[in-house]
Amino acid sequence: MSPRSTTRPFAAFRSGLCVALLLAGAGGVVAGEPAIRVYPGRVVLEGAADRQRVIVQAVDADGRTRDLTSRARLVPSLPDKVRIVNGMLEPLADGTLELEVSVDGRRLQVPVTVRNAAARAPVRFGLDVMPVLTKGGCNSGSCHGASRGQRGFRLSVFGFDPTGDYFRITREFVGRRIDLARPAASLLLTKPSEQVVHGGGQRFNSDSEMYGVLLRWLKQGAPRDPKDVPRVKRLEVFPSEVVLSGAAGVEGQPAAGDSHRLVVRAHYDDGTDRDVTGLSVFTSTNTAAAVVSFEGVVSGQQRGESFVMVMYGENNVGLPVIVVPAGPAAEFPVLPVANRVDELIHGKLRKLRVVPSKVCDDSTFLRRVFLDTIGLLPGPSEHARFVADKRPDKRKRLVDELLGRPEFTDLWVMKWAELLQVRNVKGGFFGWLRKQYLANVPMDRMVRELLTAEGGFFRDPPAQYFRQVGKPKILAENLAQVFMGTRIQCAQCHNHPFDRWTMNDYYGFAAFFAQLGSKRNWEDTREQIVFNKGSGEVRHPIDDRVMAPKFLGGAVPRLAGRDRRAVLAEWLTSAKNPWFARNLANIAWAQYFGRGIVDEVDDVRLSNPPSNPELLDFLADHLVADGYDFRKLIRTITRSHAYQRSTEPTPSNRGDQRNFSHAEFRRLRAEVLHDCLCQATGVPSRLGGFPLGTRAVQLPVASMSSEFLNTFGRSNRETVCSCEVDVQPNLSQALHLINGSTTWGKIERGDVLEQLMTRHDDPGDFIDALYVRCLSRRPTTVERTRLVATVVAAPDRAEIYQDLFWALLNSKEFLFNH
Amino acid sequence: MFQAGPVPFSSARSGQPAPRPVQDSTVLQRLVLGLVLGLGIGGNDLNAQTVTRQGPEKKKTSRNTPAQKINFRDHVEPVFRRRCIGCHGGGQPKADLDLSRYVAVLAGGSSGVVLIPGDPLQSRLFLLVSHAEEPHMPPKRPRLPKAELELIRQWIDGGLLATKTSRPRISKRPRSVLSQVGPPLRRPARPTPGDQPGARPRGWTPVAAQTASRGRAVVALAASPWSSLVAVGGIEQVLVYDAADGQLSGVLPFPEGRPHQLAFSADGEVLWAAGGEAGVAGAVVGWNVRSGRRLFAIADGDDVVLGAALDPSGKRLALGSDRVVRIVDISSGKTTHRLAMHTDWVVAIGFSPDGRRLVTGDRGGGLVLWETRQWDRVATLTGHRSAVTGVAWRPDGRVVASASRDGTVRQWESEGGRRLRNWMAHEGGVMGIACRGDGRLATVGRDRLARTWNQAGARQGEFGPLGDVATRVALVGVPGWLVVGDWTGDVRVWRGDKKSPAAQWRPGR
Repeated sequence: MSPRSTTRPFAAFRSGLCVALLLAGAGGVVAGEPAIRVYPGRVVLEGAADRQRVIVQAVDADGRTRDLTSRARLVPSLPDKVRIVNGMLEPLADGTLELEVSVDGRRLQVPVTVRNAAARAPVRFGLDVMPVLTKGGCNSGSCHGASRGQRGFRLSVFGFDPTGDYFRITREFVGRRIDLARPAASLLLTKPSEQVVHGGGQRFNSDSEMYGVLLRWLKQGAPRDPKDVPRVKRLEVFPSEVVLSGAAGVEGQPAAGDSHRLVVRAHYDDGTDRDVTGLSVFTSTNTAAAVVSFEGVVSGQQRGESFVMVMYGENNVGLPVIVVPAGPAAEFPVLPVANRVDELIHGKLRKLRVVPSKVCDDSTFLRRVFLDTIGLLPGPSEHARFVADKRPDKRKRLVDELLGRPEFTDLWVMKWAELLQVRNVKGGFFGWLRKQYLANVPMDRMVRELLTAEGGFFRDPPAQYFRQVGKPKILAENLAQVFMGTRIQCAQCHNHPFDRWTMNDYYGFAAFFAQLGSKRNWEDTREQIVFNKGSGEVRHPIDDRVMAPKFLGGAVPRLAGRDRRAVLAEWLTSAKNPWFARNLANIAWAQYFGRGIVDEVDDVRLSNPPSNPELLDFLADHLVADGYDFRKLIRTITRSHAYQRSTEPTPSNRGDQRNFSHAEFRRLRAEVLHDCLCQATGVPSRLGGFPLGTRAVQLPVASMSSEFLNTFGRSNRETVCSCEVDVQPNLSQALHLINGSTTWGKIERGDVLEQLMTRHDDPGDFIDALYVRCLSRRPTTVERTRLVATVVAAPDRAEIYQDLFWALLNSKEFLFNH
Repeated sequence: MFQAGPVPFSSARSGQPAPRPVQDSTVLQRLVLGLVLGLGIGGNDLNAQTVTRQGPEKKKTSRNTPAQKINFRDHVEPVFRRRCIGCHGGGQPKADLDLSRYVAVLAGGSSGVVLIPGDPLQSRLFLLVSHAEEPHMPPKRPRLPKAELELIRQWIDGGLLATKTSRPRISKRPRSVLSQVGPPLRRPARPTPGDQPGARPRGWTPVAAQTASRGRAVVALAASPWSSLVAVGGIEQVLVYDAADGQLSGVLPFPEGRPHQLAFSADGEVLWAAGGEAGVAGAVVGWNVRSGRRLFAIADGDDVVLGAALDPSGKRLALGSDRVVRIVDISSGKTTHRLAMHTDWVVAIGFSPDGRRLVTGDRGGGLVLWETRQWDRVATLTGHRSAVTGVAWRPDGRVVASASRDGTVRQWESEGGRRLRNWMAHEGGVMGIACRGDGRLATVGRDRLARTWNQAGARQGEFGPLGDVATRVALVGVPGWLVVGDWTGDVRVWRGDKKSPAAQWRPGR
């Protein structure tokens, strides 16, 4: 639970360091007594204009955090060096001193250094003015950031183009927006502070810090930034952890929850830092759990989690916020764990005070693991064998067995064919994928081979991945989305508003594909050949400069004449890459839980953090350590109690959607549902021109028409988006099952009922067998008694059996994995 | 001595590079001069041809009977065949314009006649192939060789002869108004013998000029057409200087706010300021230049007035009130007409010196020509692709020029609003434009330069670069003097072709 910052996305313990020092300083914390923390742990004030707010936090024994800032007394050891105005430290004279913080009879000390207290640094456009425009909402998409601006005044949306914005403010409409002879009369100030009519209302008042920054800049003569202005290196937000009490009170009488002030500090590449809380934009990803004010005060609402996004200029940082019910914590039960996965999940659940559901019974597990692993139902004999098995590790054995079956390969090859958008039956791309899976080729090797593929489409099938040659932007977007799980499309036109990606990142990443060429094979004109041209560049659309290839969220590599794709593939699949293994692990997880630890799996984003980062890290490390062996990862996942939980909720986990405290109902995806229907009725469908008996999961392409598959939302592989597969239930699906030809046709054409009737003369036995066949369980006593009574009373037994079969295939229990 | 066949196409007399897109038409205008001066036989194929063909004995000198009769069959048709009929020929010619047959060429295309006998500069065909107007023809190819363009021009000029024995055609339309600059329509009301020309301040109430520590961009700048007076916007004031030495001649209070536009009447007797307080109120105020007395003050709306023009009779005022042009009767202060045609803020307004026409331009690039009796729209002057930044009437009232942020200057004929020509004046945008008695233009732009142009758009002089964007330009009544304001707030006066300004000062410092 550490804040994540733009530049070093997953460096975990940055702000924690200072805090640890402090805790040592606090000394003698008795168990049960709250720990007191002061943020930031160290203050450096540089220049006369520098300010730093200090906050004081108590961490209770139950993990709850409380903001004690307003109660704390701050006393500088040398009052002539620093003074405190409204909780802010202001420099007076150079020196080194201690800030003594006393609260509730406890004392802590924060070292403070003041440098250049007499020097007043000039206001910079890029560093100071642009964040004001973002904080004020001036450059948001609905205001002046709209593509046509507002009333003739346009700003780049979220400030992706500071040079252009500088021009538009100072020189586009000369004589209007700024007035250097009378700075305070400039429209740049009078409009947003609503001293004159402003369509956007008052964005800030004339006492605010934002107004002050703009005014100072105008008084300096609205200068252009010099070249050597320091840039923000990283952003940090304090405190590092917030666990708030939610809104208490009974219904109709809500009492406000706890609130906590946040402080944002920017670190610049010249080594200085600054408190930028007043110029940062705060947003909460889940306002039902926590809301955050314009000034950066977060308040708890309902039990749950939120992620507070902080944006300062083009930099972002996030802070997870947990909201627990007010009042004393109930005792959290001691839960058995199967492996590390459970430990990590329980850790999170304990913080949330959510008690997970029980482990499910054998039949449920059997059906679930069959559907998730091989996309088929367990057969009656498999069911009987598993239920009768008395060995304690039978679940583990079952998984091992399933992982060896060819259907497991089919399921994952289909998944990758979707992600890689395999669209041709011919050409061998699908075959290549299948071969890789059957041979259990480590994922990193497979991806490396794919990304560096060269040559003809037929002889080197993975080269087909580069069908979109000549469109480096699309190749880069797809790669980021499929292999890194992040969407960078926004940054094509403007800095990503809810993530760290800037246009520089986007075009730098696209540059890896700039030198890819293709030509026709003149010996076989159906074939395209992909090759490395060794020349070609991607240019930035704003200033047309050539972009050097830059890893997404990483460094600018030295290419030394190598194929850019090879350099990229090496970086992507290296064990140190923070994206690749996590993404693969997340994809595997999502297959078994119906939702990723980051969800959607291809939408990793600063504002969409993993629900359990430690778990994701563990799985990724596990994958790397096992040499990218998917099967081993799946063994770990399926062995956990988390996977084996029942769908039956406990009182506290009913509302939990993200923390895997209970199993979810998941509609079967189109192909699997189709195959299960065929399996249960014993009647295969003919799909396209493929041999009868080919399962939908095995289809290499999505182009053959199938009303059933379309209705149930199969991927048509037009994009790499995980949203291509639609598992949302809808009315036309229900109608298709009830009235459509698929279910009823298969029942009539098949001979399942006849066979069962010859085998089971007794209605009870028949019903048992049919239940096991369709739902992988025996009927409950109530079900069985009622059905037997109905069958016995019926004049035509065959008809009743048919109706029952139809009803079972239409039941939610059949359509859903549970 | 009119003869000698074609003159080399880019015989730049001044030695300065001509502006880009309309180079040829510029040069065409120079051509007449070139011919008169007996300039230039250049070394291109066509010249070689013509020289050999015609021989010395055929030298006849008459404007309408060129020695060598350029005609369709012998000269122009081969050019069309080679360059044009791929599209404009055959069964379905593009735009219904068939250039393969003489009769069809004369008939024109779907947009009408493309050739005006005797007037290449009004012939659409010539304007497009010479890249004076868009779409450039032939599309996406380099311009035709100069020799071929010259053939077409001469053919049009000579009356569109079909063969060398045909009789030239004569257009009923008047020849282009560009070439003939009439005398200014307005002069000072009472030129005093022995005194300096033009109205000058006498006995104005003394007011101290407001100062500020920092200069503000010059957006209001005007010069008297008959004297050396320069008016510059100050802080709630209008400051009047003498361009000769940059000395302050007088101060006119403008408590209404910031002046955004200043202008002298054509006779130099009245000075008016449009402006106001941004986001609060606008105003237009006029003064008698001799006495400094206020003649009128018209309030407007809830934002500044960026453009206003006083009718030459001094009785009516046209002002841009957001998207509407208001016509105000000065004696009563009442709005007599509201002209609603613009879709963006009206920023540039100018009456023709005879008062019969009004041209208004907006921030979206819209430009409209109005007649001033019924206030009907004469024409929408389309062409500018970005904000109009200024309009300037030629003092003879026959041509108006408009400047735009798209970088071009466009000239329009005043009767019907016909397009005359356009050229790229300043990369990045033209900020200001002014016109002199002899029809010469001065412009300033974001490229930090001031430039002067002749009637035909040929560059005459260049001044700068300045330290920042050159924002406004004005021409005082002293020939050859140029007044330029810039973004930092400085005003400079150049005299003649000198490289450095003769005077420079920062108003309100």
